[in-house]
Amino acid sequence: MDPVPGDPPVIAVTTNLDTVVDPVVTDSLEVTYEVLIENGEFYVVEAFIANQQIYLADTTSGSFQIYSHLVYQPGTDTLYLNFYYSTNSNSLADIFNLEANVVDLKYPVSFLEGGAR
Amino acid sequence: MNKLGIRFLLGALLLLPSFTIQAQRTGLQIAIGRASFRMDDMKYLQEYILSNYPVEGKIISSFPSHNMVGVNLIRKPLPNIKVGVGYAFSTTGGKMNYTDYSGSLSTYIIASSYRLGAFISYDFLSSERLDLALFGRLDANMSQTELTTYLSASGYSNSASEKYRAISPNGSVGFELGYNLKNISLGLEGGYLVDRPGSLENVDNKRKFKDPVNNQRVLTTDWTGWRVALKANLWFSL
Repeated sequence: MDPVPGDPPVIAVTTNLDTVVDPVVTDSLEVTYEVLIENGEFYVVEAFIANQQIYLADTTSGSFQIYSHLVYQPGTDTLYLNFYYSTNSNSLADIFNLEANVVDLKYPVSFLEGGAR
Repeated sequence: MNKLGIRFLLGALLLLPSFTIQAQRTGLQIAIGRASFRMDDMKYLQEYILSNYPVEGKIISSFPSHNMVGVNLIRKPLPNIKVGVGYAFSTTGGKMNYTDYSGSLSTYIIASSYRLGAFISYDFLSSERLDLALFGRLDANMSQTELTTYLSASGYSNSASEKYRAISPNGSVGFELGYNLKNISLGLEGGYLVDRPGSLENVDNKRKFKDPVNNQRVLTTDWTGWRVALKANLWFSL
């Protein structure tokens, strides 16, 4: 049986890093985000840097901090933000909230100091 | 079990030893066959569950006729009479399913009947090799029904299961055609079983299995139906 897809959700994601040129972490850097979604359900946002998950939330807006001690040494790393939301595919997995579309965002972030042990 | 049933059962059991004075043959009977089942409530439950699927599932199987087996101790106290006691088992089930690229959702309702009872059989036509008999049987029936749902989607899987039981009397009548050899007789039996459906009760919490639409009604299994079986009687010289 093939599911009959519904209208896909319309999603727009903005962060404060969109307007920052070369974001720099000295001691810490605050990241804020906002998700606008129509005709769909927002599931979760997760943030990774230096292969570590540093944030996980199911809210459509929020903020978190990037601390300098997350990296070993000064340099540039990448902040990955993944925003998961419903597919509206009407498949079994979609109905049980087990299937998601994702918006992937990447931001280069410069660390002036390291400090991870 | 109603009074008539109890009388029949007791009568058959009491007859067994009383015939020993003139007992001619004792034996073991094995029957393997096919039976149909009414199972109205279980079919109704299946439709109800399917209507509550979050997706458009299908009924794959709905309590079809299925195999049955029986083992009886039999005695032939008179040339034309056989009596016996024994055990019989039959099972059937229903399956609903929905499958798409992301996973599958299935529900199984497996019903089993375990019957202990007594029977009497009268040969109304008999020759040296062949006989045609009319038989009647009464059983105490324990029904067990297991309802299981499986969900598997996008790497996630889960299942839930409930067991229900019911005790009920049932009786059957029919004809049996036998072909007799020295110490063995082979036969074919055809008959109809009437079940007095018993109310299903949850094995774990002892709650009645109520109709999800009409809460005043308790769901039952109904084993009423036709049956046909091949039989083998192994006679001992006792």
